[in-house]
Amino acid sequence: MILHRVGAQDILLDQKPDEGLKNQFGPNKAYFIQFTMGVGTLVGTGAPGLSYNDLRSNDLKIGVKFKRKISGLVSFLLEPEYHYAAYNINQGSPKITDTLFWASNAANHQKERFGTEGILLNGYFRFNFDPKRGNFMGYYLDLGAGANFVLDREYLAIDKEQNRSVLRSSFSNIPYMNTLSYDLTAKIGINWVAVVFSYRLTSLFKSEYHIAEPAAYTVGVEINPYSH
Amino acid sequence: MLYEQIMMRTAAWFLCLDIILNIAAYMFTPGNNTRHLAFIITVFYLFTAGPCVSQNKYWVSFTVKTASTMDPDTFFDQKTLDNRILHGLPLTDWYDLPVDGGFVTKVTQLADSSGYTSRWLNGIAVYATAAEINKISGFSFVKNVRQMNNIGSPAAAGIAEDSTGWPARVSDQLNGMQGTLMAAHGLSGKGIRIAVLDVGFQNVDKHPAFQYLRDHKGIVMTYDFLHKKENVYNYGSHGTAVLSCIAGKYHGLAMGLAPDAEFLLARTERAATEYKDEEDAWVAAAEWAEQHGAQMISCSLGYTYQRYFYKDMNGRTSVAARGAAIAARKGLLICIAAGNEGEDNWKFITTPGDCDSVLTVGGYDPKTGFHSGFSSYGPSADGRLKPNVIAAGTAWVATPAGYGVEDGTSFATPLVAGYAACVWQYLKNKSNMQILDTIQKTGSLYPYFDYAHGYGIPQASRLFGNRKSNDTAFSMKVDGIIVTISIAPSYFTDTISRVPHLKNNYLYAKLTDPTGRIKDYELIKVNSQKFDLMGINHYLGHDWIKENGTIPIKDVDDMISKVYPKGWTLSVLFDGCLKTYTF
Repeated sequence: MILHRVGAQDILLDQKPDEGLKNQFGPNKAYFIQFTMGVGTLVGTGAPGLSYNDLRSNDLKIGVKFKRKISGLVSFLLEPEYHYAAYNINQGSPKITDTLFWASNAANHQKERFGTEGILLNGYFRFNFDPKRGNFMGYYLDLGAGANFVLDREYLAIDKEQNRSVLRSSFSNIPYMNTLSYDLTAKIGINWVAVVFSYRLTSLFKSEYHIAEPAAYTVGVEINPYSH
Repeated sequence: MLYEQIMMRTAAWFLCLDIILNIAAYMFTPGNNTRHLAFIITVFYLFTAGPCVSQNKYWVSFTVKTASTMDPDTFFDQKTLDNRILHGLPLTDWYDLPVDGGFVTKVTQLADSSGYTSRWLNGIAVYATAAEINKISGFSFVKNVRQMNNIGSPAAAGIAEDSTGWPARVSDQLNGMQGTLMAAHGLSGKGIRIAVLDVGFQNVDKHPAFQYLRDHKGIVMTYDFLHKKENVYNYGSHGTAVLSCIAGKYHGLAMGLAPDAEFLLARTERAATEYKDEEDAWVAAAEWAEQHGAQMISCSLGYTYQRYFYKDMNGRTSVAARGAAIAARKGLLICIAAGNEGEDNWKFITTPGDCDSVLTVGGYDPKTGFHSGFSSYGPSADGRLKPNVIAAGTAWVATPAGYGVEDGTSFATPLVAGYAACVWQYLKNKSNMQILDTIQKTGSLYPYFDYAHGYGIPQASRLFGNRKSNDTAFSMKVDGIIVTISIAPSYFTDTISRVPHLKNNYLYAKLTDPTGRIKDYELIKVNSQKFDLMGINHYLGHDWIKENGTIPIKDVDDMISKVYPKGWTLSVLFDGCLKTYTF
């Protein structure tokens, strides 16, 4: 700087033109970081033995995308996220539920679900359909995979008693769920918004417990805001 | 193109996988998972194949023009011919010859659809698939094909309205340029034809601000280049506000400096999105304006990150900049907004404001007298001075329902366009570039310039020869590394009261390298009579906190020699007094 605040003078404007040119950070520049948030729902039918309510089996992801541009066509992204997933179980159908804790395995509840909470780490390649765009996210297809490190596994059952009280039974760190799962992810996006497709490669439950798996597919929407 | 080949192959693989899975799901019914996978694969196929077979937009340039002559008398407005004679230009040249109709027919027969043709750029915009454009590229008369983007995204929000009635605000925006002197010399843009390119001119045909314009039939011609019709009085009101800053009147009080000019109004822009064909429309409108006698273009539109990077702001890349350059060669004086990106990540000027031969206009805050934070900074990507001048970035404008105050270089630009029209009315026999140079030389900071203010605010008094020299406003003494500024005592005898464009004792300083590129520039408000410009003494005994770390003060000499290498020039301006020192 050539001028500094020396008490008597006020600096009203101070510009170094060349410094603005060194900026490598931007939606279509070498590096970019942006916030991401997404919700999804199960799609399809799981294995027989337990009926899951797809529309009420949702997941929530909140995280950050780190983007490294390779070319106008291809970028690589790393995406750590907080991930919460709930698998709601339909009542009234035959089911095998938490046999470790319930005396009767066919009990019906007001609400019953498995839930997981953990850190999801996705890595994927982004292919832009408009490589000649300006400093703009554009239209893209993301293909990649991720690992879900499950930090808490919960079983929740809610029952309404005859006296209108509510009995909430929650078991944490339940032993029959896996702590690590993997999935394949694909996203079709336009600038801020993307449609997300996921396919879970690994089982939710440990095989020795013979608990029916929910559907492996998830479809959702993701919002990735940024400013220019 | 490579990426399309890659995507085609990807789409082909997805298609094969999709067909196999669907057949398997049907024949063997292995389970819902396979059906679901087939569904997902189908979706991906559609998304990947879609772009491959979908159209992109291309600009197809032709090698030659087969027409060799044209009749200028029937094609051009008489004002166009007069303008060319004034500039010593031929009545027709290669750029004016029409694009070959046969070439256009052959290209459009292959392409899915076409956009504008351009005489100046000798080409046509088309929408075509990869296969179609490959065939088009094979024609012997096609010089090159350039892909353009077609992204839509929300542009800036529309203007709000403020019904506060302050007639004084109307005068403020003109006083900065000493507009009353123009009127005193009988200058009002009479005889100058100005084309205004914008989003729309809602209510200009009815608004009281333009009653005077309508009464003297100041609007010569209109055309909507997006819908290809004459009516431009719908869609957007940005053009309404812009036009009012050239020729509007607020209860008889002039809002701009050229109420007696003539106007061609062209709609070339959609308000809510940014599509690449808007630049084609810009060029088509510029050609149309020049054909119909325009001597000036005022355009408060700019294009940035949706299509370009800053490195493209070199006056040669964007379609609009190339069109503007040709328009300038044809004798038009073009006033373009610098842009409102000064506080955004883009920061710098927009295109076509990057064009070399246009007057790029930034904005200043009438309350403070210096650069408005939102006004885009220069230079152009190839290091040229931009913006050229500045005007009030907050203006009293006409809105569809009344009047209001708006911010933006959109309104500084037509203010300067009105000023320019008066200058050209005064200096009738000058060329467009001579007028541009004259306007720069009337700048309040001239010969000093920087990338925020350009040459400053045009001053009408300097047009009429009233430039006061002021060599005694301050002295500058360089002793080793210490630059001491001593302001003349007369500036501190009372509270601050300077000419309108210089408020509160502003001192401008910049460092330029031997090529003339500004490396560092500042504006400070001076509060003491004598001070160390570089602030060295203040740091004696302390550490110098610099962006790249902390430097002990004993190393300041070395630091200064590295930061301000030999051959760099320090320029300091205070109240019209300019002093320089080369290290």
